[in-house]
Amino acid sequence: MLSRSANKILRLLMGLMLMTITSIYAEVQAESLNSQSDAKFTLTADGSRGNKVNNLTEYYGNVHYLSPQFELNADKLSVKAPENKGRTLVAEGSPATLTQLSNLQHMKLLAQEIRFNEQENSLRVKNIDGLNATINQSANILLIADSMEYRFSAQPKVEPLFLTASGQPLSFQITTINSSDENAKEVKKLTAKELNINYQSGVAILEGDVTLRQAGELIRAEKIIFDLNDQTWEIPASTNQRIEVIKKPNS
Amino acid sequence: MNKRYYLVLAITLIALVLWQWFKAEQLKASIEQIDLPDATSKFQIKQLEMRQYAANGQLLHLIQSDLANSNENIWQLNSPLIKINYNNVEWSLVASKATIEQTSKNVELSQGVTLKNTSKDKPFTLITDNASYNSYAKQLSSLADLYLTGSSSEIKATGFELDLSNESYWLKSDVQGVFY
Repeated sequence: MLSRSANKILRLLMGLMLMTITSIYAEVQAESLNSQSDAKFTLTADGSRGNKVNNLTEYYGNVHYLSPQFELNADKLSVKAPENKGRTLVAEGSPATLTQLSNLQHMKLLAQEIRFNEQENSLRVKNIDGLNATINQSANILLIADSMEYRFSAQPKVEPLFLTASGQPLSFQITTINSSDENAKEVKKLTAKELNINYQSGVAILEGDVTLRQAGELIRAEKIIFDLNDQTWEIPASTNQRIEVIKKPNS
Repeated sequence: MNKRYYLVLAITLIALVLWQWFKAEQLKASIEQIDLPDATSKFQIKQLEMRQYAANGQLLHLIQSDLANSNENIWQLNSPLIKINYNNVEWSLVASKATIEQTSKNVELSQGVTLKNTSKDKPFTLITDNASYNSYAKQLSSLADLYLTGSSSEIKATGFELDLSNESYWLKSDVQGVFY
């Protein structure tokens, strides 16, 4: 009889303990989430070396960076934090990868060096292995270039502003995603020396020995203006410009 | 006559050997006394305070402890506080326990080891379970987990080396940081 009541008391105590532990755990989790929600970014790496005198910290080995603006994976990440100035992050890898999701664009960037300026919200990229982005869920772009600069706004939400790229030549491919038939894709392959994309107007301008290949046609021009919203393009009137159109005999 | 001569010679030789042996023992004892004065001494000091100065007279280290036990060449400190001044940067290092070997430059710290740089522009706090402080190189190191906070960051890692002379650090593995 005594052992039964002792058993009951023991069970009650254990139940109370379990409830207390659960509530403490929930509180700690909530606190941890709250403290992380104020964070500008979180970072994990195999190791790190830092110097407080020159405000430089290097993270190396499986570096993973996550911020509300983008996600980054790299072999090495250097964080320079000068006093009273925004941080500069330099990611290096073979390649380093950056992913940014916004309403307008889903972008994945692979490059040897990605430099992010926190104050400007700008990315300066060298040796781009590939930039793959889906714009407005209607077109997919693929860019391979020597260097590029990309700016975006971070407040109130992440939105791309503009992108400039250069190469000798750069390669730019646009695949139209037909909304009525997802399998019907039209591919336009372009090369040029310079590319400027204004995300607000949805216009991409390619300049310098531009070539455009589509449906068996090859078009050469000095400049091509491309509308990313409806995938139309035009060659602007210019006195110095020579336009060349080469068609396949059977097209 | 001959026998007496040999006997005197033998006694003289034995006396000489005994005298040399006794002299050597005396010398050995005196050397031990000079080198290891505390070899057998055990004592306690309450409210210990030790100061170490640089050649230019600047205070390098100030070590304070509630209670210090000296035992066989080893000092054990309770609640040690080590103040380190280097390049006009002041650091404070506290722990629950510390062990100092008189022949070594290392201070072994354990339980709640906390290093703080109290400067206003670059506050810095490092917390770990145990660490070794080399007073000569001004380096703090450990293989234990650590928690590090700066003015705009909180970092967890496992194992570190921290050089106070040039304010550089190496976090050896499993680095996890939150930045504000």
